[in-house]
Amino acid sequence: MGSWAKCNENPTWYEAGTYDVAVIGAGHAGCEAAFACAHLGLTTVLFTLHLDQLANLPCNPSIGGTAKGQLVREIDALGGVMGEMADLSAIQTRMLNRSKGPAVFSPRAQIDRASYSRRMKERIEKEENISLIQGEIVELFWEEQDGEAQKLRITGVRTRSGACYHVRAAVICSGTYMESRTIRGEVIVESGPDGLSRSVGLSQSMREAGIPMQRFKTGTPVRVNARTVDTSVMEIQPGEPDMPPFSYANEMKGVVPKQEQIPCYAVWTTPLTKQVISDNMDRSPLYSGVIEGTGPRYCPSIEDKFMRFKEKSRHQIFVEPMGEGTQELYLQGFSTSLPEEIQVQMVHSLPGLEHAHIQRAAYAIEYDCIDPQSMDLSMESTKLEGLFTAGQINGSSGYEEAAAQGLMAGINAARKLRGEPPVILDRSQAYIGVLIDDLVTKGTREPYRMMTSRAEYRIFLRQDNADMRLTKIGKEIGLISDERYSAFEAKMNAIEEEKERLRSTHLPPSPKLHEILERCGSTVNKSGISLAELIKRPEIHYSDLAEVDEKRPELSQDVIFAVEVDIKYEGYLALEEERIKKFARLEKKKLSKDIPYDQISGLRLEARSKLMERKPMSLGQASRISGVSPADIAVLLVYLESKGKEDNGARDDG
Amino acid sequence: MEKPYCACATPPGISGIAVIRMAGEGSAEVCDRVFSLKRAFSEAKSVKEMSGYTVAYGLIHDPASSEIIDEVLVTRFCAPHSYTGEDSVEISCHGGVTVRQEILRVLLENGARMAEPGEFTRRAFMAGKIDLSQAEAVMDVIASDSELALRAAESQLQGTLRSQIRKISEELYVTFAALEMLIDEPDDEDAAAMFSSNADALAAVREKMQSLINTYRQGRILSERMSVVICGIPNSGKSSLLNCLSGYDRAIVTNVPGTTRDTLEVVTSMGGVPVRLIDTAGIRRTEDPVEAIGVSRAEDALWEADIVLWLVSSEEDYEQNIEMLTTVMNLPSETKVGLLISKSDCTSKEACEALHEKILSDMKEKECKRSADYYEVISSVSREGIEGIEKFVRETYESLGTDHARGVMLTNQRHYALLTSAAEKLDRCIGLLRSGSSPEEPSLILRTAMEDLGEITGDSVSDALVQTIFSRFCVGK
Repeated sequence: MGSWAKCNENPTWYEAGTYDVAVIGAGHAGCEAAFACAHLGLTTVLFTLHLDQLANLPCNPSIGGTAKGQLVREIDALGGVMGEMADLSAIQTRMLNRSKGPAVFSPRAQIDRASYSRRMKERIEKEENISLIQGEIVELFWEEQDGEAQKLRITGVRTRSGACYHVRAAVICSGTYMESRTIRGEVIVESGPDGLSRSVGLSQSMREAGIPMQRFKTGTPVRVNARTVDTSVMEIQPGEPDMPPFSYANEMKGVVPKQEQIPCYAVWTTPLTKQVISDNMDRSPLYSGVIEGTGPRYCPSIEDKFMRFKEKSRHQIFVEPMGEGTQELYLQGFSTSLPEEIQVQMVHSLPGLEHAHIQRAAYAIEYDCIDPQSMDLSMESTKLEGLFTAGQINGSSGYEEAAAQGLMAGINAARKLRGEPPVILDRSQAYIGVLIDDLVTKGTREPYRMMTSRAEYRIFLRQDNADMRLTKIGKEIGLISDERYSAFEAKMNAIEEEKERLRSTHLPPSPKLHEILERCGSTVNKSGISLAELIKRPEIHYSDLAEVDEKRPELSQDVIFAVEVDIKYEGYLALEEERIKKFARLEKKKLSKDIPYDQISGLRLEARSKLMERKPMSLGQASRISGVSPADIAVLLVYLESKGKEDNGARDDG
Repeated sequence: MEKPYCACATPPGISGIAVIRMAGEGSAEVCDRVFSLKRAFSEAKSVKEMSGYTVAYGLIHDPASSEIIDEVLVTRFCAPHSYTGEDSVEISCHGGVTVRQEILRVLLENGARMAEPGEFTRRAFMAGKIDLSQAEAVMDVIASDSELALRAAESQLQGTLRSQIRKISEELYVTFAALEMLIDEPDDEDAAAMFSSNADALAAVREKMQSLINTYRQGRILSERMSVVICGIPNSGKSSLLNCLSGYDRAIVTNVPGTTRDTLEVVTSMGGVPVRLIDTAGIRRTEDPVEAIGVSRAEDALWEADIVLWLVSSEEDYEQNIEMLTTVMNLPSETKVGLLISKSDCTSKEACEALHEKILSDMKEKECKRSADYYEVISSVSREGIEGIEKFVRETYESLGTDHARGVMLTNQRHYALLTSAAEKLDRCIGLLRSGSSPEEPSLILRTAMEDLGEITGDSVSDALVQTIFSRFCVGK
């Protein structure tokens, strides 16, 4: 299996072309991967099962949200496309978590699904280095390296119709399509999401290459027709039209989200909802054992929520528009795999939805994915050289998580072919770093969702400073244009200048200042005070001081935000910096691949076998492998010390 | 093959016996080259044949010259049942400096090498015999020369402190998790109620931390020793008392006033409590610049003391004591003061009593802020009252109050600093929660507090710590 030789033997197969990289799947991960490869000068072939469903949003019609909004900003700062495209198709924008501190402010946009897909398709089609092809990849080709059966390298891919492509690398972004089946109660259909056809065979080919596979489950709620819904009894959730865009590039170009925004609505489940669900639990495939895949704990179905949180009598459901040219509404928080007829009763138990007409029923979907622990931190498989994977195939869930991985996998596939070291973001640099490190180092047994609590250095990993953290890296990779980089530098200068100005501008006591301070509920000062000292007070904001700050320059919203956060949270940021320094010390201790862990007797047995198997890159990464305890790390530290083997060689990780 | 490594495991200086330790593959063979076995348990004819945990009697000789060096006992340890997990032997020899050096010399000439600083413990650690906090405790055991300090270090060795800190950490984690959940769940309900209930929970944990921190008042003394300062006007018998209490002729005792120009320190144990016994220059007005420095050092020592023993000698001109009286009787109340009427062998009981009365009335007259915590008539010559002083030291130590039954005590300065830092952060966190700020800041503070605790238990590893711990070991441990 897997050899090119077969291509010549099989009369229905043919050689269809040669590319640097094949990207398999054109969802959020695949599109980012293809753009990254193409922008870095690689000839790229992008395969999709359905040309009309590119970058589809088969679940919630929104991009961003808690922790996910941070990911979108980071993708953009590195030169990815998700943020740019989301801004163009946004029909409502909001900043979540406003009450919870600026570190966790999270932008979210409701997206016109059809528009998003159409725009993405057009952009890909216009891209010089990408060949977009509708075709199902069913087999990977590889060869042994140095005659060793354990060292395989990818050489090509084959479509179901027999087209064989020579490639030097591949990025698989198969989403939930591999060997998938959808489930509604007793009704099981072998299909991908949205009733689209699934991928058959690719998963088997990967298995044959030695890649360990898992089976996961996720789900999506019903869609109803707005004409049949009474939104007047619901709590309205309007947008915030004055939000800055996701994309720094759009900000530069002056692209702002749509001003006439479409609202969302919120309702609560009723006692009847609970009744309907508990009366029919015996028909739930989750509890009857029909579903084998592991579902996401953080995005549970509604029946799961009622079963697991018995003390909660009700749950909140959000009603979200699917787009402008459609009446379809999405019921967020109401995903289920109960039979269709029960779904009707469940929907009708909700206020305002008593007569709702269901256009698409909810379903659970099971699919094949890999054990991400078989990748290294560059997202390349340790089993099959040249094969990268990104998105739900790696066990994650969510569009943003997928796009972030697609971008990094694309970048690293390109860098590998260009003979450059991989770019690996660490946990103190980006949510993207946390995401990939979690998947690769710890693995996951359920669909992995990004959450702010997964990031240890959150005060530093904010959505507003994603550009400060990553634009320079994006520039070095080659995905940030000179024009955009100088705009970034100008912004950084503006922030520094403004901070300096606030620190050095002292205000004498005056009736105006007095009045402002009283209005803000702040203590009145008798001697002079600097603007920075005033902003440091939690109750005073930059905007409050406009009247007394006469020489205030004209600044953009995001510069003001950054200045304010930097001044207000100075103490916390300093604390975080200390923690990051501590963290970096273990990350910098590189572990060479030939350390004989099995012979270090101080390590516990489990740690020895885990370390032998995983060969972590650094002591820091080793410390996060489950089964490796702090005591084992201390042993390794002393081992490195006594062997003097420590490799402090300058390895540039980004 | 790697050479076995050896070092003297007992402290330098003259002692009854000394122990030389050798570990690593081939230890028994190297030992056999220099050891003629005379009598052993079972049929063993050589160290190699001995089974683990058995002892043999014999002679160490130099194979080069056939000279006998010492009569010794050799204890055999077989891998993995030894301190480092390797084959090893311990040679118990006579305690003279030359004997030890000679034995080490013949071992080195016959296939062993000198151990590196901390190597025995590092190897024990590498063999998984002890963990990091136990390694740290080993150091404390080695450094301890009083019974109480040893007991505290042993309890740490067994991990009692660690399990208590871990429990505190787990309790903090509950609140941490609640705060994190609040951040991740954008639509959760009553944040304010959640803040206040978590502030209460943290306050309860904070109290537990405080009682652990309080044990350091005693614990510090076990690692850093209690400082007992002897003061009094020149020629009041301070140096004699020091010598009497320490059992050495450490201080030069003469009857020329002002002999002791600097502070003198003796490390000893009194009533089982490890102490630094400090003899000060007498406090008096002086023109001699060198003596003046001594006087000011004496005053510093008084302020840093845990216990001040103020000596008043009945035969001296009493008026000279007034300056001393106002200094001592205005020390902070945490400093325990013992008033000692010295040289009882030279004066009558009645004269001593009269002197005591005089001091008490002068204290009243000078409106002193405090009085003496203890009074005794002593003699360094007849040892009258000496036992009483030791009891006073012991009682002072015990009054610092630790629940000994629970057996957990902070003795290590590093642990104390980390725990105090975590406690301060907890205070900040509680304050933030009570003022109802956003969850982000208290969550960060709480996380750093847990990281501090993790450095005590070894659950967060830092390379700096590993370095420090192993560099503090001396050769042979």
